[in-house]
Amino acid sequence: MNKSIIKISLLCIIVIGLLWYWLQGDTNSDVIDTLPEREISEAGPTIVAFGDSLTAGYGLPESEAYPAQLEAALIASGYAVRVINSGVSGETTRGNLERAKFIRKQSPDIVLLGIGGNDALRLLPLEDTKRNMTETVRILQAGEKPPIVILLRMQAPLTSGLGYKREFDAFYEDLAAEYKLALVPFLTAEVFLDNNYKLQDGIHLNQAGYKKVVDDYLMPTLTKVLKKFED
Amino acid sequence: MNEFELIITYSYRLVRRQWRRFLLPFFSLAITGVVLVLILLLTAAGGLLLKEQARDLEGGDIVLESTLYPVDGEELLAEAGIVPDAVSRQHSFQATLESDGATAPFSLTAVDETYPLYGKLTLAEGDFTAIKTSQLYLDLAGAERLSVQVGDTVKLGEASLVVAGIVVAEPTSVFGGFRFLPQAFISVDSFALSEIDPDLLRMEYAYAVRVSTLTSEEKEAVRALEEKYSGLDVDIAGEDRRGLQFGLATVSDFLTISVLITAVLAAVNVYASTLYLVTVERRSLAILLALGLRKGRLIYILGLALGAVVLLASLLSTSIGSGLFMLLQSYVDTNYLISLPTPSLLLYSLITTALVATIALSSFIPAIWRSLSANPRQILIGSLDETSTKSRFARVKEFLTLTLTALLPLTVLATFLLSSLVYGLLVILGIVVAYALIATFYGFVLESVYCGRTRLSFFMRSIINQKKADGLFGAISFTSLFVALTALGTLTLTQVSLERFLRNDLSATVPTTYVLDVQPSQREELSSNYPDLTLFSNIGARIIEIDGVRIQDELALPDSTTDREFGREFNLTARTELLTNETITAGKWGSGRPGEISVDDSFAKRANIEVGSELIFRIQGFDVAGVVTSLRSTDSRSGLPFFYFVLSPEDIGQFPAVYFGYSYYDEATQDSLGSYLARAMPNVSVIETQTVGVLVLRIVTILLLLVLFVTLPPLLIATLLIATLVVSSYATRRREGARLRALGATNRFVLRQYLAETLSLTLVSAIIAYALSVGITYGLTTYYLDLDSPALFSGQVIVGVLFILGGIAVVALYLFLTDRIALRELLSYE
Repeated sequence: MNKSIIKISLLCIIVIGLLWYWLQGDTNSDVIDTLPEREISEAGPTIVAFGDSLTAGYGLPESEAYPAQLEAALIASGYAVRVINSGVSGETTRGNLERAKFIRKQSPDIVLLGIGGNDALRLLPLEDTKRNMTETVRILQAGEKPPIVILLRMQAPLTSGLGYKREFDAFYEDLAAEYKLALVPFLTAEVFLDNNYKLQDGIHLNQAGYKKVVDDYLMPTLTKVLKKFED
Repeated sequence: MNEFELIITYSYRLVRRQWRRFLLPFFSLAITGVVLVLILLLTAAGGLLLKEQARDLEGGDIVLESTLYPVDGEELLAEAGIVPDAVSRQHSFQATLESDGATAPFSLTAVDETYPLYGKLTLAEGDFTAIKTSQLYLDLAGAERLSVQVGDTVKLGEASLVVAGIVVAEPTSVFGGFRFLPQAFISVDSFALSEIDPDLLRMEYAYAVRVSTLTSEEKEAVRALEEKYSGLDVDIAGEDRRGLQFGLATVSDFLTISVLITAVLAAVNVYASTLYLVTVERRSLAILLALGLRKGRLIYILGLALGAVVLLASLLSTSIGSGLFMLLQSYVDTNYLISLPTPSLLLYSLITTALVATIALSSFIPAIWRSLSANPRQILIGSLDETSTKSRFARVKEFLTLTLTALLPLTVLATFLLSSLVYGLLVILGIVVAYALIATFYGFVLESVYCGRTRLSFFMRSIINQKKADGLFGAISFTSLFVALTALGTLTLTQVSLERFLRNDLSATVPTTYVLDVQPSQREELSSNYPDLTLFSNIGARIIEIDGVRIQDELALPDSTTDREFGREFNLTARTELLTNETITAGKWGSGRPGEISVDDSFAKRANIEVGSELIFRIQGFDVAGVVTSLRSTDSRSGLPFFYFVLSPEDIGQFPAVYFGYSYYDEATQDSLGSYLARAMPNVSVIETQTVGVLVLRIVTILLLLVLFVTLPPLLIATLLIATLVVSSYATRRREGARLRALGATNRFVLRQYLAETLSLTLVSAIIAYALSVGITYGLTTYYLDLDSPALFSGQVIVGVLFILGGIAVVALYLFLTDRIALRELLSYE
């Protein structure tokens, strides 16, 4: 009897753990721990949110998009930071790659890279998507004092085909592992499947959706990363 | 002989002996009838066709749509008090289809067995009936991408679907806008088989219904649903003035205008013909009166004769008109492959007969009564001068009574056409007021000239005297001529405006190819391979500040009243030249200097932006400031790129931009461009509008044909009216001319005088009528038809007026030179 209770309890813990892991996405906190200490400028770290319409805050005022909400949340938590919204609606990984040098020239301390959604929606060749994102990361990490790149994890819709989805989704992990990027969940099932978090177009997030992303996914990672600047 | 036999006998004798006098009214009424029945049939057929097109474009009489939830149309429509005859449920979404060798994204529509309620889904293999479970129809582009043909199997999620046909055209393709992806149709059951969770898709749910009639109250009730239920979109066929629907609605309105103008002209023509008949028969009536026949009997005699003429003319005209309509129908079907619907020939023949008869009757009774109220002796010696025996008030009263009775049937027609008694009354009231004003103006000018005639030459004095002696008939003739010319001018200018709109705005300028998402590094290569592509830089930005007001900060306030629309991203572009679809409405187009901004004027109005306003944009994290140097209006229907803001190349050139392009490539070049982009620049999307273009062109052709066919009858009737007036005027001038000749005037003098009188009046009428028609056209096209650029000058009108002047001179000369009646006979009693 006792054994059964223990078995069931263990199973429940495992299931809950897996569920938690799935909902939270898979932030690779190990990568953050291995990041070197950073120098801090007087104005505080500069974070560039670099991505597509999910970064730009399609259809919303600037203050409701995630970069502005993140900045407000970080400041409220005592971090003197500046978050620049450099999102471009409709951008594919190819467009992102074209802008990578422009972003790198701004010498940000942290880059939040959120791209790939439009490639998946348009089912652009996966090889091109991978190549573009890899090249973008290389450009961002090149040169002296490269920024910490945090990769926002996107997911292909189920309708893109299971094969495509599997490969697309897995690539974020591969890229993060290869280039030692912090991987943060962004477009999770929890956010995407709830209409309260989306605009009427069914694709883009609303203010509440971004708040959820900032509070649940970005803040835990960013506060950890910013500690590197404090230390 | 009893009274009835007497009336019949005398009427018969009157028509038999003096049939020549009845010829003009007969032909005039007959042609009027032909024109009237033809335009009524054409308009009814055109209206039905336009309604069909509107339903086809919309997919139903009413379509309820939502992207948030499946539409429970049954309950919603019951709330609006509408019971549909048939319904069709659809939902559209994007998904990937997989064949053995390929995978491709599609725009899918899951439909039920009643789809489509209107229009046809045309297949390469023949007619479409209904989609069965596990079947799929897809377009050619989709079949090529999946490398499949009819009979092959493709997968959607867990469902295996057999390709049952290749779609050539689907009913709502024109209205559905441009689609990036190939299209496919499946059944609702097949979608269920796919086991795809609808929550994972961006679904567009639609509930289309067919209803036999839809009252304005029901339309209001359906529209109210949109207000009540958030996320619900209500479309009513033919009601939404967007794109081609706008074209259809505009042509439909034009048809109404044309019928009303024709009806007015027809009324005036019948009126003039009846008046002419009574005038020329006045002497015969006087003789019968002098012989002791009672006035009441005389009215019946002439009325019966006129009735016979009206009946014969109506029978002939409705038969010819209906025949012509059927010929036209078959011509359009054979040559343009457009099948015009057939409205009820009997109904429109009856309407025409009733209209002609009522107008003839309402103009006959007051006219004959007036003629019989005079002393027969006065009539017989030709010294009847109405003006001297009646007060001004009595004459105005008589004129207004005549006009109002003649316009009564028109009011009924206008009410029927405009589906509103108020609008019908307003339109006819407007016509009456215009008519009365013109007649009063004519009377006032004539009176003034008459008072000062002693200073003029005999030639002029004689003309003025004759005009004065014409009295009411003169005023009606001038006003009728004026109405005819104004109608001609208005209709021609409106037709030109509409044609320009249909040709330019709906079809010709719409590019055949668009390319999206061209990256800076791809631009040069693409332009060198396809030099005809016009590319524009496109960069997203938010407005940060307008004249010191921090827009984004304002929007962040909890109780902000600022329009949220101002907070979103806008697309900016940089260029130094205006596009053909743009016009500067304020300020001056910049020369490309840094800091210059041009703003779309409708947006400027909403945001209180003026020339001189200072704006700050945030582009990819950087602020860019500038001053508004111009406001532009952009004709978005042209299909050319539209941007709210245009900045200098130097200002936004520092930011990485993407490029958007368009061109007018043919099908072969489109194919080559498509293959090239798929191979070398897969991120660049290409949108081909040729398939849509063919459909647009077909509909525009229908509209242009309708406009042309419907414009011709009123032009013909206006010309006929003018001819009637010239002949009527000659009938009244013969005696005056004979008197002048008896007093020693030469034939040439009399001819010159007659020509001068007729032509000068026509010319003066034409000049004033043109000015008035410009005003009417401006009002109609701007406020009723909603066209942006009305045509206020047309060479056709000038040529038309010259043609009419020439025609009048020829008719007048012909009448004068072929008149062989001796002077003695003209001046004698009958």
